[in-house]
Amino acid sequence: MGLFSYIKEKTLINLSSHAEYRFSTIAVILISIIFGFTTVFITYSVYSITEKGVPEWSFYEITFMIGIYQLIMGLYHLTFDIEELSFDVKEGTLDQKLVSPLNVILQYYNFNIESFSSIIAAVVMFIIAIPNISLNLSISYLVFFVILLVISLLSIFSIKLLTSSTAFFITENHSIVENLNNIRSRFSNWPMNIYPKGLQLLFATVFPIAFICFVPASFILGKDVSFYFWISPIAVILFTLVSVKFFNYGLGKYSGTGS
Amino acid sequence: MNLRVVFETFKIALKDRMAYRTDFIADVLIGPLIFLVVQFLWTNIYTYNNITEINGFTLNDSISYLAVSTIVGYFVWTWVTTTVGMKIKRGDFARYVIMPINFLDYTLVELFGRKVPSMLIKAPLLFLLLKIFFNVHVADLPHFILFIGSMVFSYLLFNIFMFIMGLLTFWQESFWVFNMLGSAIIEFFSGWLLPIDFYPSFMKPIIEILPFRHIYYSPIMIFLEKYSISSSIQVLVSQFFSVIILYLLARLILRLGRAKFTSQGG
Repeated sequence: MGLFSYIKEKTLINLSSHAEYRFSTIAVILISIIFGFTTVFITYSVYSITEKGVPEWSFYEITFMIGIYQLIMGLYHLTFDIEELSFDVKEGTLDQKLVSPLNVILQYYNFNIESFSSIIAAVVMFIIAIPNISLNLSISYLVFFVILLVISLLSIFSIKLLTSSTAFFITENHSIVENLNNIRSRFSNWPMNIYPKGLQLLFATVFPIAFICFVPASFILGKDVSFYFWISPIAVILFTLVSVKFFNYGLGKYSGTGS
Repeated sequence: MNLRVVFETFKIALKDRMAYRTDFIADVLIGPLIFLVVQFLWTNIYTYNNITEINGFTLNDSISYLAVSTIVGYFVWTWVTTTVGMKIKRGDFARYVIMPINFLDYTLVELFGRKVPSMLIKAPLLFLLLKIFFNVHVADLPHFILFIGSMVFSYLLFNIFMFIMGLLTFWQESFWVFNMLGSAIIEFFSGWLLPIDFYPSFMKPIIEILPFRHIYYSPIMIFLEKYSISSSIQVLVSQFFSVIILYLLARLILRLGRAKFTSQGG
């Protein structure tokens, strides 16, 4: 089976299984939209109890930035589920993927219709934010913004690939994956300027989460940010290469469950 | 419920958790790092707005509140909705229909047993780290004792409520949805995310009516000594009545669900 046939088959299987549980799918999407607004809710509360809120960012600018985060997460989960790798290693089901002629990473393609919740949440956030902020909407800016979003997707993918690959070495990596996911989501949901310089540099280079939503949002909002955030695309590409290497190294060590 | 059964359940749960030591250690060590975001965010908010107090909370109060909120999570969160939902969906519930035990009581004790390692090892370790690195507030002895009492009710409130969510599987098989719904209700109405004093004013009257504030907000406020001893006791009494009401509601829904389960031929 070729890659496209595989994608088509998996999409159809996922769609038909969701069609079977229509109530569940619609309810999950609706509740996930509410969850998507957690940080917006905290931000709203902060701005309602303080005069100026968070340094250098308005409520609507933060809402817009979180909208980008939701959009990127929605697009990622709509097509990919590399977290399943941890389960496959633990349960030995990775063996099935290894005997397939397709690339192992690509076999984690997964059409997850419930991820539309993040995209819907993002659209709602944009509707709330955009009338109250000024955006640079020239063609060149928009083209570059789209490129930034693609790099942002790559950043999510590489972080998830790296954390999931730890399963090759410590079998039960649930807490590591969950905690690193928490670090990623909690830290990237706020403007980077609230963190000390050292941490900002770390998030722009070694653990490039600044690129998930802060850099694209800052760019389109015309914000003045430190120079090292603009070199972070290179960091993201390097991080992706390291993640793939780490995954391949782990795969080489993988010996299955023997069952 | 036999005490020996509780002890054995605890031993098995502890053994199971400690089988993956690296994962456990990583959990304890990485956990406090997540807390850095709270520290940076709230320090910036207080400094930037040039204020020492927000609705009666100093910066240290706010940070301590959110730290204790993490600790409370270690005590109360269980997979009760999915556990109950799965038992109903897979038909395992039939065992409890013919056995001389109450499904609700059994589930509460079983999950408590599984939770003990988290309560006795993870929570104190995390608290110690948070105290060292973030100077989190420590309650005096009377408040601490009342806090522990409040946590027992907090555990019961959370798990009976989420148990009810699991019981809805009798009518609609997607227990995952009810788990999400229950979590969303607790996330927004219990004071888990923020002190309720920081909430927008339109939400406060709703929260006052609902019992969910007793899961996070009330025990944390006792720990932070925001309540006097007598007010804390009043909170415990209020928690007790909330538990009784929810417990009776759970028993009623269980009875209705059981009838439905039988009629399906399960």
